[in-house]
Amino acid sequence: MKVRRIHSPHHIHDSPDSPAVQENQLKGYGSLYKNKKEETSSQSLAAALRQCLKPEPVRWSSCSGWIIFHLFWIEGISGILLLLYYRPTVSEAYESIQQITNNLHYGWLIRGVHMWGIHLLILSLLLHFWQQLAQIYRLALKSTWILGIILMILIGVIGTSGHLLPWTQGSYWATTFLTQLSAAVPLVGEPIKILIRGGNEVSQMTLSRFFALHILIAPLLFIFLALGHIFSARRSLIPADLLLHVLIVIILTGILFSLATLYPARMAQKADPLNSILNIKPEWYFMASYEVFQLLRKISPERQNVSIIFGIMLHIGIFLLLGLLPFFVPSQQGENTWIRPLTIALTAAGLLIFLALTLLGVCS
Amino acid sequence: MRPLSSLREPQLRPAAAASASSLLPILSLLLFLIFIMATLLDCQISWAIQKNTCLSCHLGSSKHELARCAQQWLKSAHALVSVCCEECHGGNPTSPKAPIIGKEGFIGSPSKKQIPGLCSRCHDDPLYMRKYDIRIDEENQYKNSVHGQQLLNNNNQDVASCVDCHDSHDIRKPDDPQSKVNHQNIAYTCARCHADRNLMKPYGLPTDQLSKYKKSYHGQIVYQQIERENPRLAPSCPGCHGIHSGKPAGVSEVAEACNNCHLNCKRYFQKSIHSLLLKKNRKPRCIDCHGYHDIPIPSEELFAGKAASHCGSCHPPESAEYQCGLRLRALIKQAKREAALTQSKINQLKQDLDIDISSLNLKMDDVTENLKQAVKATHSQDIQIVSQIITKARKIMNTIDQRIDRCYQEARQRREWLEHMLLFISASFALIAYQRSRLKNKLQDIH
Repeated sequence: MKVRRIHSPHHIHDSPDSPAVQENQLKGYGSLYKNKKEETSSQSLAAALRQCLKPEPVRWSSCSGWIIFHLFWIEGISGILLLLYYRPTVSEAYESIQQITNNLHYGWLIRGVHMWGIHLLILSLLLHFWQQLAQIYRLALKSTWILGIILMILIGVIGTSGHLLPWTQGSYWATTFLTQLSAAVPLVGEPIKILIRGGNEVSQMTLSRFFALHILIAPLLFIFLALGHIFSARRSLIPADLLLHVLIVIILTGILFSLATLYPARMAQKADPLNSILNIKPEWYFMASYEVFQLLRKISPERQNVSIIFGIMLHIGIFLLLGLLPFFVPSQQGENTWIRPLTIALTAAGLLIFLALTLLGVCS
Repeated sequence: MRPLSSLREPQLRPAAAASASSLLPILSLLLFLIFIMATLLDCQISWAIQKNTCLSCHLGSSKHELARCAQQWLKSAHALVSVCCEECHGGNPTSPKAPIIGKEGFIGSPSKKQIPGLCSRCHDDPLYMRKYDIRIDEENQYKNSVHGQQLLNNNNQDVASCVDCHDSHDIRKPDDPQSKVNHQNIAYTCARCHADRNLMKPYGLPTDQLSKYKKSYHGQIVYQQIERENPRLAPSCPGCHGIHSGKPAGVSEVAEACNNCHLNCKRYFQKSIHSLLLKKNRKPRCIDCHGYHDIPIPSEELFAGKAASHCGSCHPPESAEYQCGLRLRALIKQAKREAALTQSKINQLKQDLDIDISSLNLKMDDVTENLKQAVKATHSQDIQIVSQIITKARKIMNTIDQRIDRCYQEARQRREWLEHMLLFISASFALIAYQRSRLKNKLQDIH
C-alpha cells in the first residue's frame, strides 16, 4: 500500500535530495518529511489523509467502478431506512409500501432514491462492464474480471429479489414468469423452481426468501466480493483523491433527488394471484434476456419448452464465456497489436446487439 | 427387458413429498368418505329402482312420456331423500303387476285439488322437515292465497297448485339454477300462466308483468344488467307477492311490501304527511309514485319532470307541496353536481400527479352513500332533514378538496425543496471542486 511505503526504513534513510524523498515530499506536500524523527502517529494520520486527498487526473475508467460503489452504499442506507417500516408479509407488504410512500415524512424521497438508485447502479454497472470488456487485453489480474462477472450476477439477483418486495401485480407476475422459466429444464428444473419459490406457487415463502436474499444474503456476498474486486484491481482499498469521490457522491445525490422528485415511485395495483396480467415485462435491464426468450419462442412456437431450455443454456453459456474470457484473450504485449482493434470491434458489436435487443423489448 | 432397478417407484421431490405426506391421510379419509357416501347413495337409488316396480317399468318404457317422469324424478331433490312414487301416487311398488286405480291405494295422477294435501302430508310435518331445514307452513299459506282459495273453495282449475310452480317430478331445490323456482327463473315460471292472455282474460289481469319487470330497476339487477349490484338482493315476483301466501310477511297488501327491503325509505316516509294520509285514505302508496312491475331507476324526475307520477301529477304547480318537491329536486341535483365535480377533481389529480388516490376514492364512497341517504330522506318531505344529510356529504367533499389541494401543494413544495437542494448541492460541488483545484495547483507549484 502506498501509505505504508512512506514509513518504510528505506525511505527514512534516504538523503534529503534523493528522488525518493522528493517523491515523498510530493505525496505529503513537502512539510511532513522534513523532521522525520519528530514524526508522531497523528502526523502519520494527517499524512495518510493528505495522501488520500491528493488530486488525480479524472478519468471515466477510474470513476465508473467507484460510482457503482457509491451507489451501492446509498442503496444500503436508503434500504435500511425503508426496512424500518417495511413488513415482509403477503398481507402487509403492499400496505407498508403504501404507508411509506403516502404517510411518512420524506418516505416518498427515500423510496424514490432506493428505486432510482438500483436503476442507476445497474446502468453504471453495464457501462463499467462494457468499458472493461473493451480493455480486457490490458487486464492485470484474471481474478478482478471473474469477481466482476460474479458481482454483476449478484446485482441482478438483488434487483430481481427487490422487485417482488412491494407485492404489486407487475412484480408478482414477473416473478411467477421468471421462476416458471426454470421449470422447463428437465430433471432439475422443477426442484429449482420449488426451491426458489419455497413451494409450487409464488407465495409468502417466496416473499420471505426474496426478502432475505435482497437485504442480507446477496448484499453481504456483494460486499465481500466487491472488496476483493477493488483490492485485486487497485492493490489498495483506500481510495485516492477523496475530494473527487465527494464530488461524485454530490452529483449522484443531485441526480437521485431530482429523479425521485420529478419521477417519484408510484403505487401500482396490489398483487392478485387470481387475476393474471396479460403483458408481463421485466425491468429494462432484463429486457435483452427477455427478448432472447421471445425471439426463440417465435422461432419454434410449437416446442416452447425446447426454446426455453435453449435460452437458459444460451445465458449460462454467455456468462461462462464472459467469466473465462481472460483465459482466452492474449495481452497486448509483443506482436499482439491486432488485439486492441479486434477487442474494441467485438465489444462494440456485443453492445449494439444488447442495445438492439433492449430497444426491441421495450418497444414491443 | 427393463431391469428391475428401473421399476422402482418414482421418488417425490422433498418439498412436495413433505406436503404430500401431511395431506395424504386427510385426502385418503376424504376419498374414503366420498366413496362411502357415493356407494350408499347409489345403493339407495339402485335399491329403490330394483325394489320399485313403478320405476323399473317407467324407466324401461319405450313411451317417452312414461319414461320422462321417472328420469326427472331421478334428478330431483326427492330422489336424494328416497321419496318414491308411492308417496304421491299410492299403490304397492313391490307388486310385480301393473297397478290398478283404486287397488292398494293407487290413485294414478292426483287431481289438482288433491295435490296441496298430498304435498303437505310430508311438508307440514315438523319432525320430518326439521332434518332438511324446510319450512312447514306452505299449505296454510297456500290456503290463504288467491290461488289456494280459488282452487280449494271454487275448484278453479286455472290457478296454480304446487306442481305448477315446482314441477311434478323435476322438483329441485330453490338454489339449483335449473329449478323453476330459482330466484332468476321464478319470474318466467309465474309468466307461464300470467303472460297467457287466454288464461288471464276471464280474470281481467294484465299479461305484461314479465316484460315490464325485465325493464324495471329490480329486473335489471336480477338479470345482472347493472354492475356492482347483488342480484340476490333485488326482488323477483315472490319478493313482493309472497312465496305461497300471495302476500309477504308483515304486510296487509302488496303495495306495502316495499317496506320489507327499503327500511330507510320507510323510516323517512313515516315522518311525512303522506304517511298520515296513507293511514287515513290508503293513499299515496309507494306504487303511486314509483309504479309497480316497471319501477324505473329513481331520479329527480320524480319530483318534477318527465316521470308520469311526479309531484305535479297530484299537486298544482303553485301549491306549497309542489314547491317543496321542486326545492328537494334542486337540493339533490346540486349535491350530485358537486359530487361529480369532486370526482372529476380526483380523476384530474390522478392524471396530473399520478399518485395513489385510493383513500380519496374511499372518501368519495362515503359521499355517494350520504347522497343515497339524502335521496331516501326525500320521502320525509322535510327539507331540513335532507339538507342536514347533504351538509354531511359536503363536509366530506370539502375534506377531499382540501386533500386534493394539499397534494398539489405538496407537489409544489417537493419541487421547491428540490430547487433548494440542487442549489445547495451545486454550491457544495463548486466549493469542493474549487478546493480540489487549489490543492492541485499547490501540488503543481511544489512539483
